[in-house]
Amino acid sequence: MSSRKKTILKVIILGDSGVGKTSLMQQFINGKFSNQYKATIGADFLPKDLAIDDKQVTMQIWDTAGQERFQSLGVAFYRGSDCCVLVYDVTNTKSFESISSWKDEFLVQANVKDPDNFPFVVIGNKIDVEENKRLISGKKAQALCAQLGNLPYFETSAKEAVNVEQAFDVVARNALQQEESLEFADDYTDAVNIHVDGDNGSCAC
Amino acid sequence: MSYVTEPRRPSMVDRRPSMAERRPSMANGRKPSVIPQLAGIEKPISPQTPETCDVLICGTGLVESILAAALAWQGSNVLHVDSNPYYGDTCATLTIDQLKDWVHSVNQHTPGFQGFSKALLYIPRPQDLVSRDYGIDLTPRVVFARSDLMSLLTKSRVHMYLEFQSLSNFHTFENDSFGKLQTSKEDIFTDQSLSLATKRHLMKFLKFIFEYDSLDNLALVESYKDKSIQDFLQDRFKLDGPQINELVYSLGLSASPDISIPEGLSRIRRYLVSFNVLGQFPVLFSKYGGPGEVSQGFCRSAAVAGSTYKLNCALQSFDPKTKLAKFSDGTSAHVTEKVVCSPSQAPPHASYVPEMKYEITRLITVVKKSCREWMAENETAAIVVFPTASLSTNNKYPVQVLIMGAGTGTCPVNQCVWYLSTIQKGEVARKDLEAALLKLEDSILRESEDGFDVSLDPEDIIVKPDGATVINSVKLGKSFKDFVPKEKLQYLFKLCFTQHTAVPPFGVVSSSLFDTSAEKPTTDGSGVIPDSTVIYSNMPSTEISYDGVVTEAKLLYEKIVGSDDDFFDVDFENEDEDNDTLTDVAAGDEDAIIDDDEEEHSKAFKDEMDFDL
Repeated sequence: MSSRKKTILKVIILGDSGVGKTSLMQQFINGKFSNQYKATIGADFLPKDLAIDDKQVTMQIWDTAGQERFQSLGVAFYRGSDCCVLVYDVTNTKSFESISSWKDEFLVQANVKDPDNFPFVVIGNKIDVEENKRLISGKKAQALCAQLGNLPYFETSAKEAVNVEQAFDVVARNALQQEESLEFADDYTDAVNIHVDGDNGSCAC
Repeated sequence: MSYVTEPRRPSMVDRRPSMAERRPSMANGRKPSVIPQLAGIEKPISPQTPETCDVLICGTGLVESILAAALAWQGSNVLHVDSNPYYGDTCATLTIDQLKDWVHSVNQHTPGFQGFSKALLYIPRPQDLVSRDYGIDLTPRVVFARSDLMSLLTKSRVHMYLEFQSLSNFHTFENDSFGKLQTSKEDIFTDQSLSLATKRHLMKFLKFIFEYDSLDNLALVESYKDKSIQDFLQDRFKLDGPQINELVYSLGLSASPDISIPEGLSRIRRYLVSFNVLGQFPVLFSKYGGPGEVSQGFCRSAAVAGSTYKLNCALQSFDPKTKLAKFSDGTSAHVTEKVVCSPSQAPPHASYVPEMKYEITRLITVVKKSCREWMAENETAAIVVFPTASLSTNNKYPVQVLIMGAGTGTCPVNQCVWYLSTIQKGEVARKDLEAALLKLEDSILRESEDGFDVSLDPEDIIVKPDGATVINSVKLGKSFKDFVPKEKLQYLFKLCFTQHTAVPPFGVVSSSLFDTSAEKPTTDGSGVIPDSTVIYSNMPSTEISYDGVVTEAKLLYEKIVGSDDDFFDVDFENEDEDNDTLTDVAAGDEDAIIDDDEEEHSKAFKDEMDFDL
């Protein structure tokens, strides 16, 4: 196989608009939170270097860039994902009900070879709200995750940085496992490194 | 504090600030055009279609998608819609099920599919095909390593959304067999089928091509003004038919024998200067599908810059007085600037769709063979060209074939997609394509058959300096004529259709195609004409490379913004320096590298060619 410098794990975050996908990503990557609601514009994908046990990996977290608003995420967005994070807002029932359709959408679009074993992680975000505003109980969420195939479930607050690290640790581990399971099945062709950075990409001359 | 500045573009004075200008980072003295990753805009989005936008674009084909991204980064508020549930419009990459629907829609003349006709689909055993395992391009293309699109992909960072693979094997059909292109010094030297004289002539021509810009050479070309490129190559460089065919049809990928000498030469040069830019190959293609994938990359870029995307949404009408665009889903939008629409998605009862005089006929088939024999090692695609008059039909125009194996992510293992096309028209075109298909079938059967034996003398096998062996292709060609295949080739899928376009072969898109300044009636007896001020883009050109796509997007951009000065004039922020996996050379620097590289590369090539035979 080619001497790839580092393993790259592609992780995509799905969920209804406004559930905090970008905030989670920001909190995990940069440790920042902005109180002002900003629709996802300008958000692309962010890399973070991690060590999982002894292995150095780069996790790339891909944001929907707002294209989920009118169900207009193209098939290219889903390609090559190693893990899919499904996010809902604990104060928004509709976003919770969408979780299983986002999962189905992912499996169809990504054309995953082994759908039963593809890693998903479910996150219930915004647990920093007052208890009376919360509409989805942890119990209810866990029941759904069990039903969807024992998916790992986390409750987080991107705002107060609660549980974000822990959730993404599981995301990273499961993504790595997925990536390694595919490595053997990888085809013989190498992608061309487009970067004109002096070493002529993947050219073996 | 107030000051007056001269508006650069009167029409866009009221545009919102560009992405760069909106950044808070401007305040602390940063270069205004630097865009930090992951920022946001100030106002929350509404769940409905936006009530106003600067520019409405209908159709998510590649040109429209590049335009959307360019406008979005410039600061325009773009609403980009498509009547289909998928991206790509006329150059979409489709699954088998999507293609079935597509064929039906084309033959029913359904709105949204104008510009295509006479689609025929044949699937012998539908139960054998898993729809989503396939990604069939309506308009397959390859990108030259040194080309405007390649530069734009790096500059816009859209290449990061995509995966590219190399393609080095170009075959020319000659004497009933496929000759592999000889474009390196070593190849030419070791090819025993070439005489010493031919080798010398070829080398002389390659040298000329690299010094083509010199005044002497330009004058020389001018003196052949009324001659064909074939005559020029024969007369001036004493090249023979097979070499001329290779140069014009394979290196040059010319879709017609009627090509001017400068155009023909620049196409050959295009191949040669693309060699060794990203590796030892001239062209690349995107994995999982061609322009359909690339357009999704640009749409994502546009979305990142704030464009709104809506699939399953068709333009019904645009009223130039009220500036109201109405959509098939019942929503509407107020468009402050311009409406751009793909001819395929013209609103019902449209009156001003450009006339499309030119045709391209495609035959796309999936065969149950890996076709690895045609591909270079570690590659998964190849190009085969049937020059003019090389088929039993005495074809007037060449047939170009793109071979895409399983590694391209567009078909399952041990299968292969063949894309045949010609600019011939009507039934003749279909006969030419069928004749070429038969030749491909013969060739792959004998090349992949284990027991096939050619009696070769030791001198027929040449070992090249790198250890690779080359077999005398003349001898092979003779044996092939007597070959009777033991097996039949299995076709899993076959699709034939005609695509119409207003872009002439080799023609750079003329800006008059987008001319909307002429007064057009906006109403007729029955009411408002739905498209009197709509700017139409084009159906894809007949070109098999991506050349022309960026030019067209720029022309449209200019029509809307007033000039193309700030077309993708965006500097993306460098990522953290300690992050070396996603190395990101600033776009501007990268450009510089390409330019330097070009000179260096040409020089290196010249040096290489600079020796006595």
